[in-house]
Amino acid sequence: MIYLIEDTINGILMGSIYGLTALGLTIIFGVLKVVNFAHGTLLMVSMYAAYWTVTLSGFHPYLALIIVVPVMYVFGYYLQDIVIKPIFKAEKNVREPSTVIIVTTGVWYVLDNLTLMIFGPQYRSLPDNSLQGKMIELGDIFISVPKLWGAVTAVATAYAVYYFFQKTRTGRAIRACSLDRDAASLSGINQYKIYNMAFGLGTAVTGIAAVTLVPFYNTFPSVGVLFDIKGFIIVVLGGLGSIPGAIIGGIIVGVIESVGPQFMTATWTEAIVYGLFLLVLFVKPSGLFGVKYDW
Amino acid sequence: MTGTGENSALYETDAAFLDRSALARQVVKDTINKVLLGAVVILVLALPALISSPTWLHIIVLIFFYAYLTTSWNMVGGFAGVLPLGHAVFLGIGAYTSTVLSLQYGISPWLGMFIGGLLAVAAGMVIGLPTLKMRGAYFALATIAFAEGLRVMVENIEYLGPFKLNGPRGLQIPPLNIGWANFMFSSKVPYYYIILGLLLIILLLTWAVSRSKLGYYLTAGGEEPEAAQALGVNVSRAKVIAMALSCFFTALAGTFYAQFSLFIHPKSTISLDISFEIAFIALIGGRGSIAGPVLGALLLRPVSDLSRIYFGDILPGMHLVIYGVVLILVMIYQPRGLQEPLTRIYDRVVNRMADGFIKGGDK
Repeated sequence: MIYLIEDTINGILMGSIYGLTALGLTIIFGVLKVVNFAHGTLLMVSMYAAYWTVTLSGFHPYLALIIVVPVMYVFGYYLQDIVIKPIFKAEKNVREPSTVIIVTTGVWYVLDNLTLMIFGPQYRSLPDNSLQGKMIELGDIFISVPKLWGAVTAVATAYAVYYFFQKTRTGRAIRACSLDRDAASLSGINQYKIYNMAFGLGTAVTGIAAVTLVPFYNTFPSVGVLFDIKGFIIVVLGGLGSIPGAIIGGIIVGVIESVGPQFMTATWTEAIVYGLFLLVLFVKPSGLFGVKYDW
Repeated sequence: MTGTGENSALYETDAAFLDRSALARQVVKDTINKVLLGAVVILVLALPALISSPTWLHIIVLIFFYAYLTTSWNMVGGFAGVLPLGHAVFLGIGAYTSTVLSLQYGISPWLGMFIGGLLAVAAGMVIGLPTLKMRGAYFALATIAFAEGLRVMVENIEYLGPFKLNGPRGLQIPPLNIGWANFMFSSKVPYYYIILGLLLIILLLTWAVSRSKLGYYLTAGGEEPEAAQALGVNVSRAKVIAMALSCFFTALAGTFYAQFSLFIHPKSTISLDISFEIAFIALIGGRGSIAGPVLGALLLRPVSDLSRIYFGDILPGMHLVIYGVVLILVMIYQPRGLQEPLTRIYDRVVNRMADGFIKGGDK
C-alpha cells in the first residue's frame, strides 16, 4: 500500500514534467495547427544546451534557465522562419499542410544526427549537482527532490503561459491567429510573425522542461524520441491546444507508467497508454479539455 | 512572323499543313514514348541478368518493395487525402500471419499471404472505422498509436493462444524447403521477379481505381469533403473501401518481406521507421498520383542506401542528415512532390527530341 502511494506521488511529479515537455507541443499545435514532429528533438537540443550551461558554468541547474530559455526562443523563432514559413506561404489555403509533418521530421533527423556526430552517442548526466539523488522522507514515503522541483516548475510555467495568452496583447494576437488566420491578418496582425513567435514560445517552454529534466535524466542524441510520441499522446489526451490539458494529460501518463508496474510487467504499461489514447480518441476526440468545435 | 502582304496568303494555305505537322509531331512523340517504355520494360526484365552483385540486387529489390508499399499506401494516403503514419502494422500482420502458419502448420506462405491480408483488413477496420472521418492530424496520430500499441503488445507476447510469436526475439524461418511452393529461394533473382509482379499488379489496380467511381469519390472527398457530401458522395464509405484495399495489399508485402529476409521481429516489421519512410516516399514522389510512389522510391531509397554505404563507417549519422536535408528541401521547393516537375522535364525532352526528328527528316 505504501508503495502504491509512493508510486502515485512520484507518478504525478514525473507526469507533470511530461506535461511540461508536451506544453510546447500543444502551444505550437494550437496556433499553427500543425503537428510538429521535431518537438522531441527540440527538447533534446534544449537538454544539451542546459547540460553544457550547467557543466561549463557550475551554476545551480535551474540557473541555466537564464541562458537556455532565450536561446531556445531564438532557435525556435528562426527555425519556423527559415524552414516552416516557406511551406505556409506555398500552401496558403490548406488548413493543416501535411508537408509540414515531413519537414519537421526532416528537422528531427538532421538535428538528432548532427548532435550524434558532434557530441557522440554517450549518455551524459550532470556530474554532481545540488539536486541529484536528493530525497524527501515523509514517514516511509520517499519523494524525489528534482522531480518535485520539476513539477512545481511545470505548474508555474503552465500558469504563466495561460496568463500570457489571456491577458497580454501579444497573447491575444496569437490566439486570434489560431482561431482564424485570415481574419487576424485583416485586423492588421502579421500572421507570419505571430507564427514565428508562437513557435519560439513553444520551444522556449520546451527549454524550461529540459532544465527540469537535466538534473536527474540522461542527455543523449536520441533522448527526444522518448518524449516525442509520449508528447503527442499527452496533448491529445488533454485536448490539443489546451494548456491545463497538457499538464493533466501528462499526469495521467505519468501515473500509469509509475503505478502500472505494481500490477503487470513494466513493458505492458506502454501498451496501456496507447490503448487509453485510442479510447479517448474514439470516444471524445477533442480530449479531456479540448475545444469541441474545432474537429 | 507577322501576317502582312503575301505572307498572310501563305498562312491560310499553310493551315492544313500546320495541322499535318502537328499530327506528325504527335505521332513522333508517341513513338518516342513507346520506344522509351519498351526500353524500360526490357531493362527491368533483364536487370537480374545484368547485375551480378547480390548486394545491388538486394538494394533494387528493396526499392521495388518500397515502391509497392507506397503504392498500396497511396490508395488511402494519396487518393483519400488522409495521412496514415502506421502502415507498418499491416506489414507486420502479414509477415507474422504467414510465418506463424508456415512454421507451425506447414501452410504455404502463398496461402498465408492472403489470410494475413484479410486479417490486416480486419485490423484496418478496427482503426479506420472510428478515425477515418477525423481531421488530418488526429488520424495520423491515431494510426501511429495503433501501430506502436500493437508493436508493444507483440513484443510482450510469447504465445498468442496456440500461436508462437516469440516476443521481442522474433521468428526465424529456417531455409530448409527451398522452392516456389514454399516461397523460398537461395538466389535473390526469384524475389526480384515476385516483387516486380506484385508492383505491376498494384500499379494496375491503382490505375483502375483512379479511373473508377471510387477513385473520383476519393479525390472529391479528399479535397473538399463538405462539397462532395453535399453532392451525395458517401465519402466515409469510399475511404473505408480504400483503407481495406490498402491494408490488404500492404500485408501481402509483409509476407514477401518475411520470406525475403527469413527473420522477422517486432522492431523490423511493425516499425515506425518503415511507416514514416512510406509516407516520405509518397510525399516526395507525389501523393495521389500513380507514378509518384514509384518515382519517390526510385529517388529516395538510393539517397538513404548510398549515403549509408559511403558515410556509414566514417561519419555515423551522416546518412540521416543527408536524408533529412533532402526531405526538407524537396518539401520547401516542391511541396506537391517531384512527380509534376519531372513529368514537365520529361515532356520537354520528348518535345525537343520530336522536333529534332522532324527537322532531321526534312533535310
